[in-house]
Amino acid sequence: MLPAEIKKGSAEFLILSLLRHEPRHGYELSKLIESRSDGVVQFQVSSLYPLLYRMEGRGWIRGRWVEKAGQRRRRYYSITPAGRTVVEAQRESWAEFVRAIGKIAEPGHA
Amino acid sequence: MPEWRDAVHARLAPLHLSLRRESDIAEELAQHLEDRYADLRSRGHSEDDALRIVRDELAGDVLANALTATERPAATAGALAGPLAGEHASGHLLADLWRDVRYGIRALRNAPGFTAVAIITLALGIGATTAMFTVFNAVLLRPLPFPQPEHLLRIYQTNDKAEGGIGSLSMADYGELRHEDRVFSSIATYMAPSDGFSLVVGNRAERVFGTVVGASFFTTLGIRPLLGSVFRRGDDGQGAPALVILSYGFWQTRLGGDPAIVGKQLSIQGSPVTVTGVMPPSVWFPRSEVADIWLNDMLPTPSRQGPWGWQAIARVRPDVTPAQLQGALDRAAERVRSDFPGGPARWTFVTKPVSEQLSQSLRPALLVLMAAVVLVLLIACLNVTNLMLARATSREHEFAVRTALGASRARIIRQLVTESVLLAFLGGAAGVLLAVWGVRLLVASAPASLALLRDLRVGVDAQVLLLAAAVSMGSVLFFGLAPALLGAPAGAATGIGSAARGSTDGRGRRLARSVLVGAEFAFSLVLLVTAGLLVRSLGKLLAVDTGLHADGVVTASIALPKAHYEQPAQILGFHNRLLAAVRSVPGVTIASASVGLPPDVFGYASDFFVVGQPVPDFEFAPLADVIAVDGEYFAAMGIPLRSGRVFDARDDGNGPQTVMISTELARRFFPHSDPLGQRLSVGGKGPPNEYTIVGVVGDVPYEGLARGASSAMYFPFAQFSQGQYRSFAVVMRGGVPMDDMAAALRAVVQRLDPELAIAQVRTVRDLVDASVSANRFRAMLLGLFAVLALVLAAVGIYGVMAFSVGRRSREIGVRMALGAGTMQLYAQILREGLTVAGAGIVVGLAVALAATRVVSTLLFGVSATDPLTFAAVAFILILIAAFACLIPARRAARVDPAITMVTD
Repeated sequence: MLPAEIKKGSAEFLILSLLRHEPRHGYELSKLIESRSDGVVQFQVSSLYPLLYRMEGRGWIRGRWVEKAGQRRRRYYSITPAGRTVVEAQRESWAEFVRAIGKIAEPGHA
Repeated sequence: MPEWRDAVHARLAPLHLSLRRESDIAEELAQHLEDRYADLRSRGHSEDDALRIVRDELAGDVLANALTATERPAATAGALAGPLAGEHASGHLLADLWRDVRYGIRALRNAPGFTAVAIITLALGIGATTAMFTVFNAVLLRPLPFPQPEHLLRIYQTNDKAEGGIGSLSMADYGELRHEDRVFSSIATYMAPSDGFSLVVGNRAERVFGTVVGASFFTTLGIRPLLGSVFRRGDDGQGAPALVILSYGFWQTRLGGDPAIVGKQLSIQGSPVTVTGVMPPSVWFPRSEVADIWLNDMLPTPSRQGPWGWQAIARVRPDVTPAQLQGALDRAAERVRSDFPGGPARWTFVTKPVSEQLSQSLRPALLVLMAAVVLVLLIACLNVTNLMLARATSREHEFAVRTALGASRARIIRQLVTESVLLAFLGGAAGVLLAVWGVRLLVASAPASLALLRDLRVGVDAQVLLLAAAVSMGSVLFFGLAPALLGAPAGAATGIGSAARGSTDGRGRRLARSVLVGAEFAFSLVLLVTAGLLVRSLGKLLAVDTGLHADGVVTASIALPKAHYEQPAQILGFHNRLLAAVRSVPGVTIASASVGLPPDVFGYASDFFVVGQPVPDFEFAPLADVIAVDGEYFAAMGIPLRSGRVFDARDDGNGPQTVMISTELARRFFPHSDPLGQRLSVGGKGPPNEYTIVGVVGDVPYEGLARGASSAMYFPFAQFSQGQYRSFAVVMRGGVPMDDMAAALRAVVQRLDPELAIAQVRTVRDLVDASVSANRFRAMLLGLFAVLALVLAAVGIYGVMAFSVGRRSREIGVRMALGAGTMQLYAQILREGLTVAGAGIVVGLAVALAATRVVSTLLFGVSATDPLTFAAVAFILILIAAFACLIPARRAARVDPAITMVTD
């Protein structure tokens, strides 16, 4: 598992990335994060939802109850235009950061 | 499939979210947990295993903590949705506390009457205590502005240690005490002439006040100058240069703070004096009223044991034991006796810490006042306790409902204590404001005789604020806990039931409240009796017959500098020119001069004996006040001539030596004979000391009103001006206002000698008033506290009776329906109230009998157990109790039985 510090910084970015193309509900998000990170990043109920509510409060994502036939209603989160701006900005700086780290860490440059 | 919603709700409860929000979150999270559980099961976890994992993921405070940051709590609107409604398992101390505080504020706001009365009561109690403590702290507890003040001693001599009578030292005494340098690291003499010094700045003459000190004075005190230097060794020898050290205030106000003042010369007493230093602002010792300057004293070499008149301070070495100190004092006294045989045999030296000596005059009064405010504070706390108890009773229903909804007894007590702390905090804050204001008022209204208050720079500081906080919190323990313990309901069911029916008050609580009010009355009585005694003393003091008819008489003091008025002829010459000039001022009908002024100024007291009567031992010789006067003094002051004549032109330096005596002296020494023509021997034996009595005049006090009529000997200026009387008072009677007379006198003096200035212009009425100002001040303060106590006690008994009557309106309604008359009702309510007050008064009388003994030293003409004061105070208290009961009784009598019975 990732240390709390890194997780905290990257969690918002992860969630926004996952919501870029389609709305998802909380449990789905937690499963996706866990599987995409090969189990390195795990969100439990106690930390995931407060995070979602905070992001919702900032206007980056929006949650709403969706009822589908034959199912209990679920709360789906979708990304807002503001959230999209954030994720794009973060994406770039993230990529830059990773590139930089990669260059430094490359055996040839050691 | 387990149901998770309840578990989530439990976690969310401390957040106090709106119902809707909470259920939304609960639904979402419960679904997540269900999914998680199902997932775990499908991955092959056992049911128990899966349950445990999910539960663990939800466990702890993570959720609630994280949500606290994102979710805004909903405004908890209704009381029942408040903190006492549900008792949730955990909860955070701070969150709970904050909730209690918010709820407490709301509860106090809902009862504005109760809250206002409680806060005002507490503010009065805490404010009075804080203000009084500020003064107490400054005068009695705070160290003096000298390094190691505990090693600074005043040295006196005494002829009877048991009596505590003490006097000043002579040069012979000082010379011997100085040799005890293994005990004293430094010792110094000083003398503070009451008539001050004439000083000329520019071309303006004025009178300044200060002290003539030995060279080691400032080094003994341990004070460094702000500018220049202190006196050096040898500056007090004969022939030393005349030097002066200025006080900061004098330097600032009269010399404009001249930074180059050191080394310049001032004209003091007609001689040039060189400024050698300026003191920092805090230095005022030893004069507490006013300290302008310190001059170096040129100490004479002793040729005999006297004269006395010097004060002495000494710094004792740190490791000296009391026995060593006493040994040194005894050795010095013994050496004085052997060096100068023939003097008093039993005189020895005693010491007192400087701090004690400075605050001595204030100590008894301050202690009494401090005790008084503590009583006021106690009464205030009792009152608030009572209010809280009454309120707890009327809130029974509220608590019962809470309890039914699951609040524990401890929880309710905590809530009540929180409310008490809030009250104490508000009351304390208001009290500190009152104290700041009160201290200012106190210091400003302190009479000149208590100038120490001003000198010590009394003010509210951190220490005092700390005390206010401590007192506030202490009062919470007092009034917060008792009602909480007595007030919290035992069981929900009984509470709801009885409260709904509006039954009578709980027996225990009612008894508690009666005891509290009784105690208030007891304390009030003690305070009122003490205040009453002081007020009666003041009245008696003011009623003392001064023997004067001196309305419109103006006095002013003059001091002639020795440099220009060396010879008696010079003094007498000025004296005669002055009086002649003043008598020619239009509007002045009589003008005279005297060295003594009633009620408390006299030249000095001298031993004497009647020629022809047995001569007593020196130590047992009678003493009488010596007053040198001009013959018109008696007419000016309105002192009646009883027999013989007043001084006239015959009593000049060439005529036979004459004296006039007071009626009191005549009564004591000539009970069966005519004093006229008899001779008094004053200050020694033999014809040069003998004076023939030519007149007897009415009695006048010269040693304070409390001492009453003085045995006084009056001498004519012309015969008795051997240098002692360079300072004297001018006494003028006339038909013009004081200011005009003073201006005329100033002009006359200026014309006669431009270097002279008059000072202390007063009417005789002012002099009498000033002499009792300290008595008046403490009587006023204690009276204020007593009235405060009385008001609080009255509010207390009114509150209890009003509440008790209100609670029983149904019972009263029934009684009246059954034919009870209004009078019976009044009688019953009065009986109840007066029983409580009466019990308190009886206890208070017993306590006061013991307590007033403490103030007996402050009393004049009234015994500490003065029956009139005791009876009057008890009567007033009963009257007030009755009045406080009558108001609710009247309300009860108007109760309509039909209404009270129907409302149930």
